[in-house]
Amino acid sequence: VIAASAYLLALVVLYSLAPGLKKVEMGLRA
Amino acid sequence: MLFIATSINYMDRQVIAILKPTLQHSIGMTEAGYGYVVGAFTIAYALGLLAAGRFVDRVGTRIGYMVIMALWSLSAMGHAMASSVFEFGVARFCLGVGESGNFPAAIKVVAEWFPQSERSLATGIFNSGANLGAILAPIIVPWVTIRYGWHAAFLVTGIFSALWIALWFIRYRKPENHPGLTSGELRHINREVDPQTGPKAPWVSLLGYRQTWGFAGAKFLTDPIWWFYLYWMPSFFSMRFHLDISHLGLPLVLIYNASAIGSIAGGWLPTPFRRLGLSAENSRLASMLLCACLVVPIFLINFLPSEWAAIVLVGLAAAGHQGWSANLLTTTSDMFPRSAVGSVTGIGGMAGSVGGFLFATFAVTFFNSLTATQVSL
Repeated sequence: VIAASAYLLALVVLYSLAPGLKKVEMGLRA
Repeated sequence: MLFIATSINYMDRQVIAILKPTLQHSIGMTEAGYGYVVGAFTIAYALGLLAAGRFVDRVGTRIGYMVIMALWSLSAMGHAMASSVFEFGVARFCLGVGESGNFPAAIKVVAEWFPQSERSLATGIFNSGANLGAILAPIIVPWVTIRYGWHAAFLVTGIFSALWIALWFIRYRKPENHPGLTSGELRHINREVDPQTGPKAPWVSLLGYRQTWGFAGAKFLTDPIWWFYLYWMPSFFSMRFHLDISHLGLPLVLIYNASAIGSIAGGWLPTPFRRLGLSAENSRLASMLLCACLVVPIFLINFLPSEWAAIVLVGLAAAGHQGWSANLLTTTSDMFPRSAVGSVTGIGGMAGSVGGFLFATFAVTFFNSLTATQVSL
């Protein structure tokens, strides 16, 4: 049951923290 | 090249497991001593992931991958000189540090050489090398050990590694520096992303991005499941279906083959979603959802009457995991500039290793309780 649900939970975690896999905007270093 | 490197990587880490009975006999390695040696690898692998990802981002893939491969290969060959548990532990620790660099380096190479929409397929193909390594090691190692002794078994993979390093040094260049690449091919590689490699950000600053934690969280939750399949499935089949060691080979080979197919097919999966009009990112997420669904039926495994039905379910789940993994690993280059891909892959890998350690502890408790129940029955 843990194995079955881990991936769906992981997808929720990933989507919550990175909606749409949005690209990060990193500041340019001089 | 990445596929071969990953195969060698998995072969090197498996040699000691196959030679365990031989080492117990020849140098008197106890179960506790073996546990210590395995523990040294696990800790080094987890810590090494953080350092290796950052290292590859700093020095680049050409030199970085070569150094990493040289470190793990020399460490693997160093096992041949060990004659005590402590010496095996030291060799194993160095092996863990070196081997941890394979995935951050390989993912970074994929990000350098493939356009966004082709990366998960490239990742799926090289990732399936792990399964080839897992299948080849039990064939090559006993053969070499019987003919030339256990020392030679640790040395033989070093020959493959030396050839790989030489070839990598001669052949590998980033696309911008590759003399054989046409401008059309370079445009194809960079067609979906800004061709700029991305600004170099301080490593610590990566921890401030939610995307890093999203990737690390997903690795933390799902890597342990794969380690569970690798290390505990033989015990499960043995306990649940009373399969002895002579009957475990075929089920494991079938499961590994299913994993390899899953890795490649899962990596290809975003392509049809793209054709349906989804963006690269949404195609990735849809593919991951589909792979996650393939794992769901595994909860039925305890209710199955035959080992073959269980093999089908585990094979499906293992294929689902590897397809998931090919896409999850590729999300780093979806979300981060190429200059940070190695570091973020390393951070996520570390989270996966910590999850694996915690889950392994849970699995030991579970199997102990299962054994106790069977004894009481």
